[in-house]
Amino acid sequence: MRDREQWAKERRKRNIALALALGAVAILFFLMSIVQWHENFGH
Amino acid sequence: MSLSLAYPRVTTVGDFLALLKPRVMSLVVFTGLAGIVAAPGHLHPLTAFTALLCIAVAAGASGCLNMAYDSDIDALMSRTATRPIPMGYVAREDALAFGWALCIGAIATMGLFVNFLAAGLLAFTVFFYVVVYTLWLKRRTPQNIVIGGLSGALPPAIGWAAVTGDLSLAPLLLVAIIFMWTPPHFWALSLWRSDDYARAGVPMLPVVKGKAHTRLQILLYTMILVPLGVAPAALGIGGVLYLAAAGLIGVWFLVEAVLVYRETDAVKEPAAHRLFGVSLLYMTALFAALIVEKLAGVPPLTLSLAL
Repeated sequence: MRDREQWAKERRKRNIALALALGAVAILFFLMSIVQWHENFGH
Repeated sequence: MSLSLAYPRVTTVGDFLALLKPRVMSLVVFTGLAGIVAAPGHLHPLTAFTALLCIAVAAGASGCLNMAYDSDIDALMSRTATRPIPMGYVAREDALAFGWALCIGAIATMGLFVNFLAAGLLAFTVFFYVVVYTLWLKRRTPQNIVIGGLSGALPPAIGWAAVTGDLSLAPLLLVAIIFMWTPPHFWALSLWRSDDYARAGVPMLPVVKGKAHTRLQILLYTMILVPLGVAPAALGIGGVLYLAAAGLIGVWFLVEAVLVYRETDAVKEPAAHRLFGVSLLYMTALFAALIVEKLAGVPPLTLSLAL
């Protein structure tokens, strides 16, 4: 029982970490798109 | 009721982070940053950050793939037996999927947002480390770390290419310095870990050719490395600070290599331990000097030949 709780807790932590990493990548892609647009068409 | 020690615990986020070899990653990021900072030209700060992130992720993913493909021999060596895969914390298949996904993501991002040369060099670095070094050379030849060292040497060139979009003699010189630094650094480690390598069947130089031969090779490589390390100051990359760091710590490095050559304690290998530490200091000091000089606006030496 305790093992199962521990397993669920670690799985939740892994999911949060994955969501944060993917969210950070999405934000980075969005910001880099702006930078690219600015450098190519902004002058 | 107590838990059985034989039963592996659940997989944590920390296990996946450990697969990325954070300490190796930090040195790779550092030399990549030096390439970005030392290169002529301008790069948007966010693009520079993205380039560094891609270098860091690809380096970490390469380390993860190395741990996955080498998990059988890692389990036999005391230095590596506590890694997540031999301990049973992460399944080898999960590590392979994790590593390849990160590699592809990092290379694609580099190509999409930085440039194709930097992405191509990054892909070549991953290929060289994972396929050429890990899968091919490591278990076959005592020259494994000499040839395989090219992958660890390339980050300054990737950083440089991220800024300029091309390569010149200057970044290749930085690559050559790390390439020549790698053998004495890892052979020093292998001198006191030779039993580990022998047990795992990895043909490191002390295992195949003996310790005396390894000591001589360390000295020879260091004798080539130290003058090579000073060369950037003569070629318009480094200034006074770089020259002082490369000269002074280079001489110290050479003295330690001589002491390793004359070492008589083949059990504890104190001189090899010291050389290992000095080699890390040397590499850090050289690239830190390049970064500091560029950021502080210290000009390259006046006698330099512009590249």
